[in-house]
Amino acid sequence: MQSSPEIVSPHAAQSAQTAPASAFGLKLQAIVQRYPGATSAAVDGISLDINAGELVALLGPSGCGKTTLLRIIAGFVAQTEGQIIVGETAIDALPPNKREVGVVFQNYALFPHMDALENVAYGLACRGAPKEQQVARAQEMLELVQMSHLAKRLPREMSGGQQQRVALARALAVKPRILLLDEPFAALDKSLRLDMQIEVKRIQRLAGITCLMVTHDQEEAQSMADRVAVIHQGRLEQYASPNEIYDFPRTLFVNQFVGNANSLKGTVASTAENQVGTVLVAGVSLPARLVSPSLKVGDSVWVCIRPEQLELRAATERIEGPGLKGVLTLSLPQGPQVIQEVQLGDGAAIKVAQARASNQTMLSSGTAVFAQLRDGSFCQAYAYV
Amino acid sequence: MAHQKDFSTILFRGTLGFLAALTVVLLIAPTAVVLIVSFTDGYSLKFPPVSYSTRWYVELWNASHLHFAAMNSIQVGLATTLLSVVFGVLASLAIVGSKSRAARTLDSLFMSPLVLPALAFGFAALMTFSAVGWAVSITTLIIGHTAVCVPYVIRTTSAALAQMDPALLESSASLGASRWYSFRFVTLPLIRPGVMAGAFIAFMSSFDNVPVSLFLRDARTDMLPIRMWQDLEGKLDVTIAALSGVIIIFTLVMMIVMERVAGLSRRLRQG
Repeated sequence: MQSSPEIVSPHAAQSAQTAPASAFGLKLQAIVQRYPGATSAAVDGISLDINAGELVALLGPSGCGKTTLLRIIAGFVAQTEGQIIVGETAIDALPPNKREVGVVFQNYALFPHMDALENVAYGLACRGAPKEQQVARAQEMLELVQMSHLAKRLPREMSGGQQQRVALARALAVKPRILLLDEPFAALDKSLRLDMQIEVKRIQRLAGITCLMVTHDQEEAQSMADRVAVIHQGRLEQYASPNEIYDFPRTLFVNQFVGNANSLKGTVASTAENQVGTVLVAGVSLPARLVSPSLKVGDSVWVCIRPEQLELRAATERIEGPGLKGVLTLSLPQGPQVIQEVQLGDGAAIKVAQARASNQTMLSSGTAVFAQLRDGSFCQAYAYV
Repeated sequence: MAHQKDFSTILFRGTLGFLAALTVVLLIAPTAVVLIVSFTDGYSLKFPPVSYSTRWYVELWNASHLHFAAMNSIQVGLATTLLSVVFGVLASLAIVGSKSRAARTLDSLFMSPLVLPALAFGFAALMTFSAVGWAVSITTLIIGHTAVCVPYVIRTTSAALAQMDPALLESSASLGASRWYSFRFVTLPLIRPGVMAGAFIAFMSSFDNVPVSLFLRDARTDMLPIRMWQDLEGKLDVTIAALSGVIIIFTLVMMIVMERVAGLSRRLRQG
């Protein structure tokens, strides 16, 4: 039930109930989690504002604190500092069973002694709902996840994907205000993963529920989430749309963790308005966005170039525009694209992604090449630390 | 080379097989002997019997002093089992749920009746009860038996609890279940086989407990194992062989039932 600050007429209350379930926003305010004896905080002052109905991915390497954050929101761990607000209400003081926060666990955590229907009905059963209502709702939810035909199966008689569908139905059956997904696809075969990602996204849209998903897989975060929160060592590195995270990574960590990046040492050669400037890498001047604030001419920087921002040409061609000279050492075909490794003059190796076209002749290893920065592309430059 | 290896393998397997067979014979032979003797037609415990009958089982049917002791033993056994299950399950929940040093200390403390000589415990219990002014009775027997039987329940229940995925309880809570509801509908069904295995062993070990009963019993609370020993000592009563036969059959049936419902042998290995 949504708690309303003002008294409304019985009629208005009724119409509010029949209206489509309104979603709740989720606010995390400066959450800190310190475990006794640990030298650094597991979660170090993370604030996030998640809109109602939004799907946000918490992305980071293992041990970055993203799972701890999820457990704090679910109420399994009490945070050291900070506040969690669902809708308008702080839920910090509530035990997990009063939070109305649904969780889909990494291993699904289905009750092994109950069949699919009983698992899904569990949340209503423990609220004391009448038996017919439990069964009706559970059947409706199994329908939603396309599992009606396996209602009588025990978890051990189901595949991973089927268990996940049931776990999702179980979490949604009690109409939680927030849905948390802990590494939901990590235990699935790669071939099944994409199907389930689409499925979860479909159901999330359909249920119109605010959803927070923990993942270490940057592709998964980008393909599923409306916004991505990149977390590193307990801190929030960047919180933005998948495109912005990918195209304008705010820190070196984000640039390297999300997608592929060639990181090369360089120096700032010139600066202009709006962070624009040029950097000198391996004796070549390249256009760059100077991401770190207050970079000056002569400062050492990490220069990041995405493999797909480069285009490979034979060194014999006549080429205009900025680029890096080197020798092609390896070609790794990866379905729609080929990753080419190029060794630069100073010994550093860079990767270049090239779309695979049937009419294209591939350059062979050992060829002297020129990795040209595509028109309109910028490198990203971060203060060298 | 291959030959040599074959020979040593055969030797190893042979020795192992022989030892296993010997153990099985040593374990089963006495039981078989008692069973056979119980069907004797004579008045002595001679093996093998000269002729066979079921007269001692008829005799047993009419031996009221044995019935009295058996009823006492069963009563004490059931009460002990009930108390052991209640205390054992509660203790296991606390021990498995906690990572503190106190919990680990308690864990070893609860196991101490398994290692501590039961005779010493029986004597200590008698001293304690007389110090607080409790006369020996069925109550003191039940208390004494519970102390030595509770570890079995703790062992098997803790093993079952430790195997339970902690995410199940988190998941139950996030679905809105209270702690009690989670315990009743998730924990309990999942640890039930472990608890039942522990209860069975607790009952059996109370039923044939001698050392504790020896100190805490009197004529009004005659216990079956002690009555059996006294009858045998006095007059080499063949009825006792028949009684042993009944107990053996009862135990076998119970073991098969427990194996079916609780996977007894698996539980014991984990414990």
